[in-house]
Amino acid sequence: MNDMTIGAAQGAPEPSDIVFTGRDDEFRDLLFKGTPLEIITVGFYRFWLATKIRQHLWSHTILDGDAFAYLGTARELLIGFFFAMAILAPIYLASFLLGVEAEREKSFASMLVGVFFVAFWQFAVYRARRYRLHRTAWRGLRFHMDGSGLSYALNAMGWGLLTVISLGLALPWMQAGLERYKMRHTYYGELRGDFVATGDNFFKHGWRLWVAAALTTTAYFAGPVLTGITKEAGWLLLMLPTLAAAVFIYARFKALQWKWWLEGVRIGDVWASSTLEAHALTGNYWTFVGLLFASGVAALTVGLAIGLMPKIPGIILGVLIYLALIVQYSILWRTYFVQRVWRIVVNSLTVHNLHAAQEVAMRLDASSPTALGESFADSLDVVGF
Amino acid sequence: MTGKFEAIYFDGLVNKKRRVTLAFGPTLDIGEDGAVLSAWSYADVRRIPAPSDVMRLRAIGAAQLAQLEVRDPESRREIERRCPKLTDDEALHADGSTLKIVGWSLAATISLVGLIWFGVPFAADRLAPLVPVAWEKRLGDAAEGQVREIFDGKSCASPKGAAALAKLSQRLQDASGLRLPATIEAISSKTPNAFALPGGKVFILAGLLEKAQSQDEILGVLAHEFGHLQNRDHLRHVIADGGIAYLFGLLFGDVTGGGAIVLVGKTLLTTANSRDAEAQADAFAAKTLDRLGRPAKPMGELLLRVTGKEKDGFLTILNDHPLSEDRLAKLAAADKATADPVLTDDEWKALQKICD
Repeated sequence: MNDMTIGAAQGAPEPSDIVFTGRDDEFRDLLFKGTPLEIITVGFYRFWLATKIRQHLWSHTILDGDAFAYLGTARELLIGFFFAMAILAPIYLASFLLGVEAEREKSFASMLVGVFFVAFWQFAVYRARRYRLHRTAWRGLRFHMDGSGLSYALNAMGWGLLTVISLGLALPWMQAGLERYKMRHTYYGELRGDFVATGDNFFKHGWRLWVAAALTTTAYFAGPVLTGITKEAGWLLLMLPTLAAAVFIYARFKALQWKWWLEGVRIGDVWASSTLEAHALTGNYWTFVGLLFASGVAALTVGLAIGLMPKIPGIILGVLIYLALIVQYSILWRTYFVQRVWRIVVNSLTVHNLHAAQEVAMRLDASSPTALGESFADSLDVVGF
Repeated sequence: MTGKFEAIYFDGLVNKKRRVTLAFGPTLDIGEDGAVLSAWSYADVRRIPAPSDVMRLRAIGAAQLAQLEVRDPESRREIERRCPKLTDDEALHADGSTLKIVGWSLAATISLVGLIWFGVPFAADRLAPLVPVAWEKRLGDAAEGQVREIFDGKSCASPKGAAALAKLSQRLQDASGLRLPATIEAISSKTPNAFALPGGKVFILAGLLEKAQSQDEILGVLAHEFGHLQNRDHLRHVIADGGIAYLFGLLFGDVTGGGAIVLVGKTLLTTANSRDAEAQADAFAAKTLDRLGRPAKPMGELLLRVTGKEKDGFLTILNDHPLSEDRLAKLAAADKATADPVLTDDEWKALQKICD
């Protein structure tokens, strides 16, 4: 009996299953109820809906027989939001005054103030991740995160500049660098995370997508000039094929990025492999585009009909259609960009070396972050799930 | 007998999954291999959300994430029978009822809209006079740079035209009693428009001079712009805009597509404020022209010529200037000249050609 135990610990351990058991219709019901409520409550319900969505996703993600738990509450998000608004008020005022002074020096120099907000946004993204991670638990033990949102923001700004200058070529290394920072400050109990995937590797698998994106962009802008048709007509003609190419490239990029990221993540000695294929997300994104297009055509038809109606009922109907479009877009986005991707990605995973995450103790010096970071992100209009 | 009630237990300190036995004594004893790991008093046990086939429990005073998962029906019945406060934090996990959230959101909206509608203009009126003129000038300097970029910065000053403009400006300032000295500058742009900047700068575009049929029309428009300067409308506008944007930011947040609602709301409110400001500037212009002994009606006629008929426009509520017909009617009341024109005919012609 002892031999068996030792053998299991030393030899190649059994990989562990991770599955997503949430049903599509359950998630749909959640959105059908929650999204209209967001409109009725002029947005305040977003804190409750976001919490419900996370509870749904986390609690149906089951690793080795035990589900993840999402411990955050909507109330926390609401309070964090009020604090964020209070803190942002003087920042807005200062940025306005600074903008006036910059403008006096040089016209339109106040746009530089925008750079500050981009950096602040990165800071908020980091802190929001910290909040979500701390509210995530598995087997009665929390994840958490330390590190500094400020150094992350500076890091992200530097990489961002490099990526813009290099026309996106630096993106793989930017992602590797930023993920390394985030994962090395991520913990599950006292197990420390790491990120071992490299930019080189990402680039090796993804460079064709970069070429495809470059060709598509060039064709869209150079096509009309070369063929001699008028610019407007050319751009309209090229719109559909360009859009199709963009969806195709984006879907492939996301699939590659997920697989690269998941296989690079380490929690202690635990690692994961993914069977996600290059085209795994393509159908999903095409469904999104198709449904969006259909609803757009429907709205346009009704919109034309409204033009023939008397003014006041026409306006009321127009507003209603607009609200319906918001609700519908929101549902589509959360379905096809969040839940479906989550399901496809989780079900592609196999976790290895999970025995290294047994009997992990709580990390004692971990403080509890507030929802403030998430709220900064929220008030800067970052769409999160 | 002890092996009868089985459960899964996480102690919340180490992530070990323990198969434990439950013993219902004076306390709920959680035991593993004969040793008691933890004893929960029945009054402390609370149920937490879980799929229907499992009962998940925590205890007040235990480690925060310590939890017990019970599956077999007999143990669950026993727990339900013995724990009096089992469902006490269900309200907490439900996170408030939906109806309550809707109610409070409506209350918050009403209060915010009230604050935006009444509070913001009030605050702007009270705060604007407190801002030092030097700050106002800085704001004007910043805007001036942008104006020059947008209109290619071509300033017009044919010698005769400039002299006429200076004369007009002087007479206007004497009659209006402005709280700060103003400078009028002509810019070569086809757009028929004139506007004032905080700190005392007024721009008149060549397009408007071209469209004008008499000097009284231009005189009226400039007097109107002086009205904006006198009332510090720019400052009030900036303060009100900032306040409205901030307060509206509390609504919708990152709800996708909500931005358009916020934009329309903002536009409706700022235009309502600005219609009010325009009417006051009109009144100021009428008073000034009265002191100069010149009629106010021509200014209304020029406005109508520039904007075209507006009465049957599609969404008149979105106009930031009062309707030209209405303004014309108001200004037409003052249609008598009691003094000679400010400029001679030659001077007026020179002014019209200031950009040539």
